Amino acid sequence: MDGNGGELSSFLTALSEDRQLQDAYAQDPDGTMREAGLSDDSISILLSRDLGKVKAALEEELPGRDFILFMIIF
Amino acid sequence: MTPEAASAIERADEVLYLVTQPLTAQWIERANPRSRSLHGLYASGKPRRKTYAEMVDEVLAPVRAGREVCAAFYGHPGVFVNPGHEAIRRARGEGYRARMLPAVSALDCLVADLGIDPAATGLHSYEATDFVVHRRRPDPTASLVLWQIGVVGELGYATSPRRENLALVVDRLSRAYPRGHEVIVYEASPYPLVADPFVLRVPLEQLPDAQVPLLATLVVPPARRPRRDRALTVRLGLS
Repeated sequence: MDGNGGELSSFLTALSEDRQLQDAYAQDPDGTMREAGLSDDSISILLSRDLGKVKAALEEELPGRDFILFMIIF
Repeated sequence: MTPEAASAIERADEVLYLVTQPLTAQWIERANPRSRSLHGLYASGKPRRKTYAEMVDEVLAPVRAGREVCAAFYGHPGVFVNPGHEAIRRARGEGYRARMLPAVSALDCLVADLGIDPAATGLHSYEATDFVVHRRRPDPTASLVLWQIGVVGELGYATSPRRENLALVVDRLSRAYPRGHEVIVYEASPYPLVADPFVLRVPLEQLPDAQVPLLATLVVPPARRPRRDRALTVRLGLS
């Protein structure tokens, strides 16, 4: 799977763009991820559907691009 | 992202973006190699208004050079995005064509994820710091949304919410709601296909000790039903 990041970011990028992959993931997340070659760790993170874990894993894969943005106007 | 927004990013001569998720940044840069982040304009101790003014200048410079520019911001470009509004205002003031494309804000996400219908309960919202500082008066008969609950009182970089500042929010809310009233800490999922939104329901008084993500929004459901004006109801023929 191509992509500029690690396996997780590459998989999520593909998932966001490929409707067939989305259908496959919806029916069989575990099998689809194994077929895509994801590691057990990445599969475990995605199967948890835990937003904090997914964000943390992505920030680890794409270092230097993670930041928090907020705006307060008075 | 809407198809219109994706198309605007892909076809622009130049894309300037400010997003919170690394995967979003990666997508933008792949969609249009002529993209660059505005995040570098932030600096520790730098006045926020100066940062915003520089962002607007960064967006307008290529516009003045005759290029088609797309400025992309996380969420909705007009919701809590001062540079988004200001860049459009100034561009139009200088005679350039400028348009804001609507997008999906945290409010839209929480309506869907939490099943809140503004038509059923009414809805009002404030930025959390604004709510405290300006002593806003909540209406406990309508749903209340407090934005940016994780960074109350923060003007710089923050790594975690400050409990003492969350306690100020609780103190303010306690004047209108029972301290045991259930509130909802919410964060939309930027990856809805693979991750659920963060949803934590806690009694109001326990909010300072709760797990509050930096990007969280607080939802306060109504505490009681609104009172009906019987005379007006009759006058409108609604009785």
